[in-house]
Amino acid sequence: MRTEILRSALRTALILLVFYLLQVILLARFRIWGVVPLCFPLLAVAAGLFGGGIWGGCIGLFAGIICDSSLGDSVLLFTVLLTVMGFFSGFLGEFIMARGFPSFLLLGLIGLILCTGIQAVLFSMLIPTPWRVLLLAALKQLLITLPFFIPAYLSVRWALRPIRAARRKTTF
Amino acid sequence: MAKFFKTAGIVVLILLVLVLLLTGIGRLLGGASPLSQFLQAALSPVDKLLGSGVAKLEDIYGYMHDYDQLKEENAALKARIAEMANEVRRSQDANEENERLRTLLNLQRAHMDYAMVDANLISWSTSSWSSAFNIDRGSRDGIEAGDCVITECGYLVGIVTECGRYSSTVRTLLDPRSAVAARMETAGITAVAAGDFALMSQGRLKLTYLQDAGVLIIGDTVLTTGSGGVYPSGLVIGTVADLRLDQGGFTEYGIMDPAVELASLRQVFVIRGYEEENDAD
Repeated sequence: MRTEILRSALRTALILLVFYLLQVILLARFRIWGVVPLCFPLLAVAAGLFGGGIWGGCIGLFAGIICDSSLGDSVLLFTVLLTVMGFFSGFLGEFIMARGFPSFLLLGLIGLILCTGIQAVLFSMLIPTPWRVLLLAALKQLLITLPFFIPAYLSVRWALRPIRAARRKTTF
Repeated sequence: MAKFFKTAGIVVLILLVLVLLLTGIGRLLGGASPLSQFLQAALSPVDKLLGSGVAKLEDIYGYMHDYDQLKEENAALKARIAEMANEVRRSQDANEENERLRTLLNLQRAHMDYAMVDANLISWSTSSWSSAFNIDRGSRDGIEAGDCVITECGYLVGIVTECGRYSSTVRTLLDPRSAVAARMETAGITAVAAGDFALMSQGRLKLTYLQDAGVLIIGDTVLTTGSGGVYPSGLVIGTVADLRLDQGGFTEYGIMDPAVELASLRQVFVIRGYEEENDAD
């Protein structure tokens, strides 16, 4: 089991690194509609769904730290938010929802709306901005993140495959 | 055997005599012999065909013979091309940097009071709600939060907001939290060049708090006033691009294009200190 945990952890670290580089080097530089996709909440949700609450929480924590450092304007917001999101998606995946793409899509969308909404509210508290402008920016961010649902789902599923397989063995 | 030599010998002899006769007549008439003409006419297509075939065979043989040599030569040439392309790229980078430093030198000559540090851009912020980037210089290089950041041409880029030991965060002009006291070069009026969230995605700024009775001129250059002590005066912020009325229809504001091209920014200069101009003068 230890080997599986180590393998999954290493794979997850690799995925976080790839997404970080993708976001910082490519997506931040070539903004589409002036916005940057927000991929890290998807990783946290997927980790919770496939790895359970502890994995979701841990990966959410690291994804949050990376997300906060790359955003630059949200001290600890995403660190807390993504940890909670990862943990709760783990809880939902364990007891309420099936562990498949539709569940991931639903939870990912909820997570993204939550993150973008909080960002918009905090921004409007700092700089009074018409709500239509905020809503439009939030919508753009949401739309531009949609294509990243598939790579996030597939990569996290691949990363956590060793521990899922090990769990199945111990269950039977 | 005797019979063979008798019959065949006679035939051969007759043929030989015929050939000699034909050749002799041809020579006597002063042209080519009719036999050779016939032979040439009959064999020329075959000659051509064989000639081209042989030439092709020669080519193939030559190709096969030289193939290894050509392959080696090709590989060497490819390597050389790659090396030269690399050299060209390096030289282009060096030229660009040289150009930047030359322009900076002119700026330095014009503003001897500026204490500047050059810095390279590391990464852009991934936030959709702000416009900021990180540079590879920090407090170790004498940079502090609040220092002004410009390009080699003296175009205003932004301000240092956070300063680590080895890197710093620069908030650009476009960020909704940015505001710079500005002066129109031709019109002479003052205003505030501020970042606006709706305009940020278009790469533009807003000119607000226009001086009373002032008239904005489209295309007018917008400079820093130097008031407030953050930005030195005379730095180019951008040009006036458009004039608009606010939602109420009473207050006029301007839209301006920043002089700096943020998308292609690679190197910036942080002004660590400068001599403030005396307003009384």
